[in-house]
Amino acid sequence: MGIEHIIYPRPVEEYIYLKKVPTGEKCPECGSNNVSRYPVICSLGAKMVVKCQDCLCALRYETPAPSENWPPYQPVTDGWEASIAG
Amino acid sequence: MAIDDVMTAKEIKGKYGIGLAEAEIIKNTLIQSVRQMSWIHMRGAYSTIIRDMMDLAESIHWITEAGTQQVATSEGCRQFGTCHNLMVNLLVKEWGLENMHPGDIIITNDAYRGGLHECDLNAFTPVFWEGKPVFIIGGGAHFLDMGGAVVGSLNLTAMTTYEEALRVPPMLLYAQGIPVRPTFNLLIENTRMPRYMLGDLRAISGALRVGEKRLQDIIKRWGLEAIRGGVEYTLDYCERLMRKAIREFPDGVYEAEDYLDDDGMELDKPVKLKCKVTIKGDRMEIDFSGSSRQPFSGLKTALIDGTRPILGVKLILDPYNNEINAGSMRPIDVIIPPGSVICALPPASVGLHMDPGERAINVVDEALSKAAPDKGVACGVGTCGGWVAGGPDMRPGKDFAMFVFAQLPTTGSGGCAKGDGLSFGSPVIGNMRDCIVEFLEQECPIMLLSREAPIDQAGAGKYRGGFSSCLTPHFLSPGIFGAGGDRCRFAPPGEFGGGSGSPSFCYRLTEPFPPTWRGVTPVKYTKPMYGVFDEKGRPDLENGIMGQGAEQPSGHFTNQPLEDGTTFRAYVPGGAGYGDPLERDVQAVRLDVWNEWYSISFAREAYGVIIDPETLKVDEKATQRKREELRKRRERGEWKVPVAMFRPWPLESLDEIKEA
Repeated sequence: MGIEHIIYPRPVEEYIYLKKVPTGEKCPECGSNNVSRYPVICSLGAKMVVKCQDCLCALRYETPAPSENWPPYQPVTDGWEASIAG
Repeated sequence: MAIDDVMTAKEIKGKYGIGLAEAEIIKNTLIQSVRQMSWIHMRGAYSTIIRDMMDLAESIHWITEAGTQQVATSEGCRQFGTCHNLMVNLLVKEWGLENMHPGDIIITNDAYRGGLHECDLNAFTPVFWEGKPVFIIGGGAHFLDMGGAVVGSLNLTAMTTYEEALRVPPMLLYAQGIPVRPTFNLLIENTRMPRYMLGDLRAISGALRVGEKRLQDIIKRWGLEAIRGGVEYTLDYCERLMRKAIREFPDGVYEAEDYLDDDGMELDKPVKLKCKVTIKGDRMEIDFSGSSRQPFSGLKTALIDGTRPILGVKLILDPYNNEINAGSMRPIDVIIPPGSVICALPPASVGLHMDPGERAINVVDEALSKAAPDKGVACGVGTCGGWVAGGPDMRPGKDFAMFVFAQLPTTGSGGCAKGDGLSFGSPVIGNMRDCIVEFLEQECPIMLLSREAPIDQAGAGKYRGGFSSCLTPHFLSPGIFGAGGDRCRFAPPGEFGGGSGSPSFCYRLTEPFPPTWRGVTPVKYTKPMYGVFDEKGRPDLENGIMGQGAEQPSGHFTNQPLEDGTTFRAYVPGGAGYGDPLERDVQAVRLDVWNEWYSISFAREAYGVIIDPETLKVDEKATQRKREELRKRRERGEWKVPVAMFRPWPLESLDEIKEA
């Protein structure tokens, strides 16, 4: 990890919207093709959910990739070997 | 697939491998264990805010391959309980279960790792069984001072965490049961109240030790497999309750928005909180897209509002079941757009997280009330209305020791479809208590001269809002202080025709004991500190100007000098009203007047109820005429329910009040 995950600028937009990214998948429950992927806080923590936007069926919860900045703060020491002090 | 609402004993045995009785015993043992931890924590703490005001909570988390699942949380400041589910998942990812050892206690206060703000320090310990960690237990509490530029560490004008307070990433406080001296020294030597810091660290650690032993005892008693079954039963039980509650609401998309007055730095910019709640069957998604970007000041939050709104959801959907755990969160995903007021990006300051959190719950509840008006709740005060003061204690024998006092007044909730709002409760995020006056006066150079509900404070409605306490502290030492007095400009809005609760405002008093009646002091004895006032200095949201004649342009400020002998009176908002006040039972209005909750003039102007000032009896015919007149004027757009406020505020003398 680098410091790009610990220091961010303030957004320039006055109001902030989350963009949901369509995946093109089909909902196994209602058959809709309106399925998107986006970051959420859920019972398992901070995840990326792939979810049907029509019936809210969650196809799956995924661990975010580092490049997805979710959650935004990621310690520089992520992945380092632990010492006896942590 | 939705879980059935009710499971038979046979189904429970088949799914969890234990009987119904065992499952219920384990569920309640876990809940009772977490309560026991909090009682130990509370009794052991040195600080008034933990010991007396219960700004603490503990939690128990079950370790699974998919992540940790919070299975129980204690009463007290329940936002700790909701944030711990996220915090522990992030902690395990960062620290690694393989690097945890029996007796370790890991602390952190980092909001960017799921915490609340720097003052809220959290501690976690793994519970091992046969060499493997099976539970993680957590405790959290407000520590009165975490260093930084401002006494009490709530530095509104800090733009980043660097000048805000000590930010503690996950660190060992105890390593395999041994205190880690550098960590203790770091905390004790960089904060202003070392004796309290040490005492409170030991209290939270003691609570975790008790919890560890308790959980090991129950595993020994029942066996790990039975505990696994009991934990899964407990999680599924709360999931069933929440799904059942969601199903009772109609499918749809419900939206609401509300505003914080300002961030205390950009005074002309209200901060918008917007939410969209989508309900489909037994699933819910809460999306805060459209909210304002992160303000400059510390009036914002990092990740906590991804979990904290569950408290608002619970309030509306399932208020009669106390348990909240990760199972309750399974049907609900929360979207907090990065860079917004409730998902600030590091290293932005987040110390004043309280009022954005309150407002986030306000908008969720407002949206859900639209979904099912028969279960709706009008807005509570929407602010913690707190103030923090600190400095050297100059009373004889106190040796100039630093004091910090964080006051969270009791508050009124909104009226609801089933009745009037609760008075003297707690802000939704808190579930805490007010201070114990005798302890406050012993430990801090402050005398609390009054704590009362001002007249005409609760929003009018078929079911009126609740009343909040108005406080008059008198300071015996100089120091600094700050306030979180939001809702000066945007009073708590009513629901379904109900009126707004009274707004926030604050006066400095020119003498400690001026003539006062029901929280009303003539203007002659007051100097406006913050709020909306008319040109003569009377509080008047509808016709006044924010900050007119006042010391502070905003209700949010910190680090203001406090002179020895200062007395002020802070008015917390009142809860908002629910439903048309012209439909409120006439005798209920009379009772409120008889009890001096409402004035005769407010009963007339907001409720259309005419009461004889001599006999305090209702003139039924005049009331009927007045209510009819108000209805017609409302239809013509000439009348709306007035904001709750005592209108004939006197200028020189209480004798001016002719009609109370």
